[in-house]
Amino acid sequence: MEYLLTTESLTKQYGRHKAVNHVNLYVRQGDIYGLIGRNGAGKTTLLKMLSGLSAPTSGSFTLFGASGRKAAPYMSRIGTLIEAPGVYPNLSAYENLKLKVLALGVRKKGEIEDLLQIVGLEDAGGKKVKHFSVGMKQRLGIALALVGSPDLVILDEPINGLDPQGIAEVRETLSKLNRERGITLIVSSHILEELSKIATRYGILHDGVLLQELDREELLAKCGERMELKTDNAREACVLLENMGITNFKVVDKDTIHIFERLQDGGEIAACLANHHVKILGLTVQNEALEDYYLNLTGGAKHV
Amino acid sequence: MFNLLKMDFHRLIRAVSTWIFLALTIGFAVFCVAMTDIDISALAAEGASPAEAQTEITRNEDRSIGFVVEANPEWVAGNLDVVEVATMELQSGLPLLLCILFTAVFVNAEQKNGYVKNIAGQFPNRGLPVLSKWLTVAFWMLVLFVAFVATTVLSGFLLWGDRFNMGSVSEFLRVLGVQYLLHLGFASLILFLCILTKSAAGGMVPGMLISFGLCVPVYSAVNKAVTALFPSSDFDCSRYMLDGNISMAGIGASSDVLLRASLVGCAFAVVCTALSALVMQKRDIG
Repeated sequence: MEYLLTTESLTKQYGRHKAVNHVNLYVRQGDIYGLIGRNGAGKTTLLKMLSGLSAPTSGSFTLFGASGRKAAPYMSRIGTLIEAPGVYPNLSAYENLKLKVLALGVRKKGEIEDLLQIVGLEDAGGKKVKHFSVGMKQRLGIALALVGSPDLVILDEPINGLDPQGIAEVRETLSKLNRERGITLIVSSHILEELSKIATRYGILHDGVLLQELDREELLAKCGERMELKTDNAREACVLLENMGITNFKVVDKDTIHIFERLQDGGEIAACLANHHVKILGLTVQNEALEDYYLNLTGGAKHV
Repeated sequence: MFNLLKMDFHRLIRAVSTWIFLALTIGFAVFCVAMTDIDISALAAEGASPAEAQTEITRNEDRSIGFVVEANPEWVAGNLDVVEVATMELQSGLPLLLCILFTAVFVNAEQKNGYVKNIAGQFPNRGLPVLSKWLTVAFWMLVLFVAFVATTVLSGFLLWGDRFNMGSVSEFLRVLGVQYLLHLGFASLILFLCILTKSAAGGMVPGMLISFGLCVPVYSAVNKAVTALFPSSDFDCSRYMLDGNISMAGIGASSDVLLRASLVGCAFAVVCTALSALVMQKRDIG
């Protein structure tokens, strides 16, 4: 599979502390990659390395198939918003964008107006940034990341400080950019529910270690509603389920099966298994929230 | 690189501080001329004679601490030389103070508000933004220099009329060029200190202390230590320092002094800019 960005054992160490610890990340072209992790998990450090703002202690990353020094020319294809937006408060949104347009040598006419419109700041383009709300600054930061039509946009906590309406607008903007312009996005957040609404792929980072990488479908399967069947004969149970027309199930271990369809037919399934002398040790409907899944994965409930 | 220059020049023109510094430069030039005129009036009242004219500064110990705008007692009765007046005022330390403040404010702005994060990662060589900033500072310092000298000349003509004579233009341009290189070297030092400390104060404070002449005692101590080790040597630390050369490279300075001053200015400019680029290249941003 062709990846736009991969990391190979990427590590960043400050003294004895490994902020990012041997991370192997795989981002495909067109992905909205959600990087999940609580504060201090290493998200910003990882994103800084990917943005070229910080050098890894060890490891490397491959961008557009090129790694090491060969990847350097491709860094201009990355747009970034790391932590708080870096803007000149005494200049207008237009002027702030103009500076980056000049720095990158963008010659497309109307680029700044387009960007202001994309982030919903078309009416505030001439206003000095020091008079902006936190949300407006955040949106300007996103617009700055989009200057020069980058192929990959890295956004670190882009919904920080936004009100619910602002969050919805940013979410919609990012989805639109991904859908219409084919921009690959890496978005970090500690607000899992928000990420789950747009991300197509997830990386769960905890204490600098990438615990798991999974697609949206895999995550939904793990977090969605399911029936957990515990039995002493999983093999026979699978045959019987298929005979009943149930195909969307997964054998988790030798005596546990997760069933993802016909969740209301628990009685019928139980009766079928009983009729064929397959012992049922337990049959329950479960629903694990994304947050619970994350906490279970990181063992972090005690930290919350 | 050209694009970065375009960005920095655009910011230079749009920043309010740029025009405030230009206004301050013009104001300081008028102030210096006015103070010189007051000095001349005071000397005339005291009946000073041309024999009391101050000798040329050739050693560290000759230098004054603080900002000094002096009048030549010869000016009391005779004509004033444009070249001499303008050079003395350039050496007063006030233009240097403006260079220090401007460089610190301009260079640090991008780091202070984090704008550097938007662009630094997209350039494989992070030294380029530093070089671009240095070139922009060099350009604006030239503008400030020209503004200072032009205002001094204009104010002088307004105050002293026919008594204000042009003098040797070639010598003036030579001294002006050397002083510009020395001031540029100083600006490069401030650029380096600001980038190293990530703070405007980190560049401003040492710069101001040096421009006030507070390093003179340090240089004296170094000179004494060197003389103690090598009694036959005629070592003077300030000959290799920017502030020392700004004081020495005036009208009447020998070609050797001017050449040494130019080399010191260039050396500081090259070394400090290279070090700034290196720091920027090696250090994590944000």
